[in-house]
Amino acid sequence: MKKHRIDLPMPAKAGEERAYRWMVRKKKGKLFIKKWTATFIAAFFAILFLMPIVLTVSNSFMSSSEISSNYGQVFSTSDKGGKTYISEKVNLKFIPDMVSFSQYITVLLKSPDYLFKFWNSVILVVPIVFFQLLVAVLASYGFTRYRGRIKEMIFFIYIILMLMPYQVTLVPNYLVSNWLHLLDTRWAIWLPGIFSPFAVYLLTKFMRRIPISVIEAAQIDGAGEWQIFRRICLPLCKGCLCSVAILIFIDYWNMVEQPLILLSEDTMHPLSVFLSKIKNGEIGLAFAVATIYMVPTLLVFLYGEDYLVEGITYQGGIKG
Amino acid sequence: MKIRKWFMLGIVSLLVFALSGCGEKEQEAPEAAEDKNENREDYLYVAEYEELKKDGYSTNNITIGKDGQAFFSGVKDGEVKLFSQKMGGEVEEVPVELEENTAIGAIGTDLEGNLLLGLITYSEVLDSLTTAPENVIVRKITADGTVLKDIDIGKSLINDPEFYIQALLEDKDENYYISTGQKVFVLKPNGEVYFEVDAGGYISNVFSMKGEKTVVANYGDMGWEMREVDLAGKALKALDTPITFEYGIYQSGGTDADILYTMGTKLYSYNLGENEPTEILNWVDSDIDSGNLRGFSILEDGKVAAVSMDLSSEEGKAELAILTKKNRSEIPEKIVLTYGTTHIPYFVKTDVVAFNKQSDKYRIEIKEYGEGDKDYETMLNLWTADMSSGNGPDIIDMYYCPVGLQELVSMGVVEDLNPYFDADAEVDREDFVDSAMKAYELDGKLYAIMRCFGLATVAGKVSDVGEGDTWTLDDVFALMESKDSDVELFQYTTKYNALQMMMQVNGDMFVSEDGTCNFESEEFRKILEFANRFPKEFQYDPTGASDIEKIREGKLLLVEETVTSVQYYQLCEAKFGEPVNLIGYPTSGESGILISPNGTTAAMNVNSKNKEGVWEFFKFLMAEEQQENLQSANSGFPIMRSALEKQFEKDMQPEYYEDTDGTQKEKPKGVWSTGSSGEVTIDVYAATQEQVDSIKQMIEIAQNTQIDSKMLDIIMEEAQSYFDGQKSVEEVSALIQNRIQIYISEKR
Amino acid sequence: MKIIKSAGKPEKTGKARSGRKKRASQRDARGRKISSVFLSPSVLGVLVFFVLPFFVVIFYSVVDNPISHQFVFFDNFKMVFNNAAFRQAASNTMKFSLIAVPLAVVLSLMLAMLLDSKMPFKSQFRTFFLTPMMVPIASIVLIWQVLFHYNGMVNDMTALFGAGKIDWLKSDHAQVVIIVLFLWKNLGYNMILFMAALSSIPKDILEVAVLESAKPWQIFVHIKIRYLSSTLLFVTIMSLINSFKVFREIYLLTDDYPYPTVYMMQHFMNNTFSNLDYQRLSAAAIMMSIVMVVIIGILFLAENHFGRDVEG
Repeated sequence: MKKHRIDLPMPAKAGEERAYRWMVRKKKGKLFIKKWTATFIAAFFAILFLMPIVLTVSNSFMSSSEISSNYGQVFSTSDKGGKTYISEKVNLKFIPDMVSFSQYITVLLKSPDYLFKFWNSVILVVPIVFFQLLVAVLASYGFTRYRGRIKEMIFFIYIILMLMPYQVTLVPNYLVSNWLHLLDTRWAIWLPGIFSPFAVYLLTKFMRRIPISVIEAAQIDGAGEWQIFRRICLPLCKGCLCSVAILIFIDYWNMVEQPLILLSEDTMHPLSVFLSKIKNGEIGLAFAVATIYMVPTLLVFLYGEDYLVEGITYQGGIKG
Repeated sequence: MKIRKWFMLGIVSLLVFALSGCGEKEQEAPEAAEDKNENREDYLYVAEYEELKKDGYSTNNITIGKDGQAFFSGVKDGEVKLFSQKMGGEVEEVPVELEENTAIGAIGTDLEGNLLLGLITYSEVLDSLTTAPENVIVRKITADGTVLKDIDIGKSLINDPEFYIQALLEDKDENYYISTGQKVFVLKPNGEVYFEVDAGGYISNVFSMKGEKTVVANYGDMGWEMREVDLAGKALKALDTPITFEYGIYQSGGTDADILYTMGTKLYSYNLGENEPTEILNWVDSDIDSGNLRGFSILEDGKVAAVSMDLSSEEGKAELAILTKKNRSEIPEKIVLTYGTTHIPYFVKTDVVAFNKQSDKYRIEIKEYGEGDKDYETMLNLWTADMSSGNGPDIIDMYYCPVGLQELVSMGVVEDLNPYFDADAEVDREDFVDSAMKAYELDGKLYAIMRCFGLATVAGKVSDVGEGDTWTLDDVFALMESKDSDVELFQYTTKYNALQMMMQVNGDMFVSEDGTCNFESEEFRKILEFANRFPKEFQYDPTGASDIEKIREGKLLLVEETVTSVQYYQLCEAKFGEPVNLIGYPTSGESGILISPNGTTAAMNVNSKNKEGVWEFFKFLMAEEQQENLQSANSGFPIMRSALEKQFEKDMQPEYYEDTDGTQKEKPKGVWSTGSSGEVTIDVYAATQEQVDSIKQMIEIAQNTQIDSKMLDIIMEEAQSYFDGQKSVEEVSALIQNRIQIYISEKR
Repeated sequence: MKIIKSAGKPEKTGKARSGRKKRASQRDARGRKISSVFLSPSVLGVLVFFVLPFFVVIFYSVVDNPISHQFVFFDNFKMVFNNAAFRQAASNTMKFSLIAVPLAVVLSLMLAMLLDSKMPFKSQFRTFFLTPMMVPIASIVLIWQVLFHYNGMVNDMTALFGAGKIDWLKSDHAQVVIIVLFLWKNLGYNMILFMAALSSIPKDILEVAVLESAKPWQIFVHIKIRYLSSTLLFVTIMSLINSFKVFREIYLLTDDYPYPTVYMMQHFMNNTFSNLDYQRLSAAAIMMSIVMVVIIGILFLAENHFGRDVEG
């Protein structure tokens, strides 16, 4: 962060002092302009990036009639169930004509369904995040230590599996869950989630950056594998674990297809499933639900954002 | 940093607050659900039946008494009596003294097992058409007829001549509630009208929750809703705990539960505040057609009593059923077949129940993928996963099948039925109508059986459409050109339905064998331009001329119909008032008349372990008895040639009745009334040979190649911007071409 | 540039190595075993829930259909490969990845540099750039539809500058829309990765470089890029992964049969899936994974080649 400290060579002769001052002033002025240009550019991008989230939140305070008059033509459906064939102007509004809490009242008080679904989401996601981290941190330690041809191969396979699109694995997943009698239980979601290679990949990438010298030093001191893992790797990974947890959380918090196929009971479906299939007339609700749905993610972010950065920054800590 | 922490704390506490209500309850839910599933597998409700009928009397107003007996009123020559019947017993009369010209309008029960009778006195003899209700009495009697209370309410409720009592109930404070279809009247114990509320729509059910709350269920502005009668506020108010179930038959749960209700084919009980309803039984498993149910209740000994009325038979057959819970092991073992469908059509329910009742060896259980409030995608995913993993149902419903036959065949999930015909001496493929069998034939293999069918077609005057069997798009253009600008093509023609009608059978015109399509052609643009002449939305004018008037005045050219009987065809002729040609949709040569399945239509799963059983069911559907008695549930033409011929003969046979002056008159086979307030009435009598021949001719040439629905969707979606004037016809046709080309190449 | 070299590979402490070679190798063998124990839960789980299903996919790809299991060798592959729609999807997807992934890498690096400079509200900006990760997919699609609708906001904006209306999602511009969507969603996270890497560059090197009057571009090319190289590859792989994930949004945004230029592998797979055509779906998936193996393999080799010199 100290990149812009002004490190100008000291003036060699007294006669040059004025020139030097002038230079400093000029540089400072340049920096000033540069700083604000940068801020301006960043602000511009920030607005672009923030717009959807602001829209979601602000529109959640609109009454359903306002919503449908604004977006009617985008989302309304014909009697056939397809897209409508009526078209007018689409109004994108940031500020509701009248702030209305009716959507929230419906979601939070009138129909407990949404809250149940929210709770379902929590039940499904939290164990996955926790246990995936646990399994992954062990595995990535395994991948990091004593790298060999076989391990590299396995690691490579992990990456390929991580990249498989869900449509491909959906039916096989269904079959495997069926063989294991996991269908219609939360285990059908939990287990594949827990063993997902994603966190293994990220954590391994991270752990492999831990200088060997650090580990070797411990080894020479007589530390066993478990101790090295427990006393050296884990503390170093703390930040990274946090940032990976955030990523896993976001990933599973938004899952749609897996619960649809593997849990036939509607009552077990998470809120993301509801969100993904907004019906006509529910758009207003959808904004409110989406806003509520974002809250945990927001919390995770606010709490973990520093780790998110720090998690990948540790290198500086050791080296610098 | 500090601000952030406070902010987080705020959100967390908000969240905890929001969730605190549901957390505890929810945790128990999955276990309970498992429990339920386990139990459901173990037992079955076995039904005994008793027909509710007193010789000579026609049965009305059935209700279930406290001891599982049914009470019903019977009418014979204007004389009204109340009967009761126990399972296995005789019909007994319950003595009720009725004044002259008095009918039992409704029978209700209170919590103690007494009966509430809603008696309506009419001005004249009951059979006459001019009767008007004059007086209402609420009478409370015991099960053996002793009068406990007799409240004369007088005329105050009667505000129109159509007055009837839909339901009558009592709460624990002895207030009475009378529902008349739209309104609910609340009466004080002395019969004085306390207040009345309008439900704002037709009331489906009114029932009492343990005598404490009276609940009105109806379709309102908010969709299906249930509201309680608020005595203090003299209005309907939302229930404290909202109920989010879908439409169903709701009623009082007696003393044990708040609500007992039937949704789809299942019976549930529910208490306010509970997370989920408790499933009690599946009516189909007990051979009861839930579409006919009139009432049900759980008796003290745990048995379930149900009364039903089958209106599809000639004179509504009423039945009492007592269902006893038995372990599956106690029940003579039958081989279970599953009938998998996304939604249960009413005729499937009827057919499955009928099959189960007569088969000693097999019983069919229906698996509904769209059960509950599932949306289309969930349902499709479940269905797909089941089919592809080989767990699919034995019998696959084709009426509501979410994918086309082509996909099912290429997936290898449906069995070719031709070998079964060959191997079975009892049925011969030749006995059935060829075009109907061909509807589910692909590459010489037959994949599904339909029980009966209709003919989807377009009808017009011979003077307009000519006498040919088919016509082309150009013929339609020419017809429209030749008419004045105020002439309508169809009733309420819009750009969209005109486009749809023109494309219905013409998809193949623009798609060639080699997998290319040509929607940028002049021909297709002509269709778009043609469709664009029509208004975007039709103006429904309730005071305007009826379609019949318009047709006869030449202001309306064509009518889209699905012909399901000879009478329907005759009606069509009568509507036009001159020779009519049911020419079909415009095509490029082949027939534009489409075979459309109109009853149970199903295929056999390749993976079924009981293919003989599935074949038995198909044979049942094709059997002479079923084919000749399609009844109203399965309406349409039977697929069996001989049954069809018999039907035609019957249609041509005049029926007579003796008029009051003693002369023989031909009895109409059907009476239709249309027009804005029913002023046009058409009677249809015996058909002529020509009429039957035209139908035969239509059946002969009818086919089953419609435009792929996905293609139609794309066309409709894109055409919108042309119709809106946002894009030119060239741009739109290019877009359609592009998108459909992908669709077609993907499918190859 | 001598500084960089010395900061590079840390020199091995040869003395300790040679003296205890024997004991070390014994310990290594033990450690190897133990580290395998660490691996085992994950490997077991992956075998059951990921590898096993993958074998099912392979099985499906060589039979005529999932029900009758007739072995047909490579017929499905031939069929899929010759399918015009598949080719279109493959080339569109390739194009998308070729444009979007490098763009994502470059732009996020630029953003990271921007935020790395002195400016107020730095951490706020950082948070803002991450927000797209939070928005549920459904809302994203909803808002994107509103923005890029024919009568939507973007067209209103361009109209202010006198441009004609564009049907964004149904013209050749559709590609732009999905690339913007992808960038919007992923720049934030990539940026964080780069910021982390940037801040890990030893300050003294930068300071010395400034003292030696190195120009900013020289500092960038010779110092920063060198130090960022492993992060660059990591970000590339992550972007590639995310480019496959973003297809879900594209699919929801554009319908199952969209304008040809945005017809992606996801469309092909999803459509074959809902048409119950598993044999083709599986064949397509295997072909896709072969391509993936090649791409990832190349990236891996590249990483091993370039990434090592700054890593420990």
